[in-house]
Amino acid sequence: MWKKDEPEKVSPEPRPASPAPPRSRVEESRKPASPVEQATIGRSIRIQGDVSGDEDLLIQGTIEGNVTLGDHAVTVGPDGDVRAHIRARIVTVLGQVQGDLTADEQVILEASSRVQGDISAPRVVLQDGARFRGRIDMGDADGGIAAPGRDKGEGKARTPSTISSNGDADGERGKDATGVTGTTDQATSATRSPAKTGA
Amino acid sequence: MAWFGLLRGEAPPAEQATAARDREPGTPQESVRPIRSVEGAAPGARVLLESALGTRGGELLDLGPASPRSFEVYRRFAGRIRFGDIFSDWGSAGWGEALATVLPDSELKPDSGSKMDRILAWDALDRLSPEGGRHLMEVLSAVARPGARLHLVVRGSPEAAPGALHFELTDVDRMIYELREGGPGGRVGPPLLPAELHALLLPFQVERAFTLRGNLREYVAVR
Repeated sequence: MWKKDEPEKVSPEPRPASPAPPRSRVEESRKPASPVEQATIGRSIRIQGDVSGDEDLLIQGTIEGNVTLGDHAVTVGPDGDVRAHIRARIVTVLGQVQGDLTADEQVILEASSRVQGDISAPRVVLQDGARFRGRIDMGDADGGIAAPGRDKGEGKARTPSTISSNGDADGERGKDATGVTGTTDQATSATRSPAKTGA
Repeated sequence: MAWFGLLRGEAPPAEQATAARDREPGTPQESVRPIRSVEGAAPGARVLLESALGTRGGELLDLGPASPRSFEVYRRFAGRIRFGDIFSDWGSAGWGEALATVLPDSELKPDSGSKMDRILAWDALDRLSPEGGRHLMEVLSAVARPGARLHLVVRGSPEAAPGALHFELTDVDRMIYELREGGPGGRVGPPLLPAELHALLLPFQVERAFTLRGNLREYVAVR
């Protein structure tokens, strides 16, 4: 009887708590792979005004104002639309920008990008398919601007892999159209498979 | 019996028809098939790019679309590179507005600090009306530094290219040109005669000219 007043013994083993809701796969995939923080401006977000901060930024929405992120990276996603200047350490564009891009390290224009403005960076990567109208200023850095898939070598450029290296011209001696004799260096055969004349 | 010729080391018939020919502009043309896609020599581009070796700080203007391959070549010679892409569809704006975007009025003034050392106009004069061509040349004359060089390509005959061409440099002296049918800027007028071209280019003076594969003429003019 007296046992009724005895307080109930607490089991040394903790009772299993109610199970936590399982994390969705989507949530898992959104976890950043690196500890670097990155903010995201979502597709439905529209900002009219300047944006600044101290972390990386992914822009999927629309910004009408300058974006300044000093030592960090700014990525304008495929749906991103920025109508002002962007200044950051690295600027990568997959969407649209109408404004100047300034980067301390590099600017990358991906194939889907469409940029109208001036670029200032020691290194610029321009992917095939990117649409760009404006000026690229590489400063005084030697060989500072690079095309995709190229190192900084200053050797003879046969840029994309679609161009074979055996395309040296025959070096025919010809008369130029001004009447001045010059080496016209005409090639007699195409140097890549789809390069043909004719219909 | 084309195979017999191949055994003898002759080029295939298609290659023979389109093989490079050096000839004076205005001389009778052999049957030239319209250009689709050609990679060939571009001696004028070399003249243009190497005209200021050692002065890498200069500015280069390409009126065509931004091309990674051309860009790779340009960066070896120019400190600043500008792509105009004036004939592409960037909305409703025509080529004149596009030109004004990439070369604003402030840069047309004689005392403007931003002047071009090398300009690649490609086939712009083939695409424009005579008035358009004159306007383009006025603008280019205003933005070109004295001694600047202008590179352009014109068709040698109406059959050479039935539409606008897309150009890319693959090296200092090589380029690819492909027919881009339809789309804005695809219109081409009758070919410019050499005398018409010389008059249109003033105050640029033709320095060198070459005949390219596909019956195109490549010119380098100096301001």
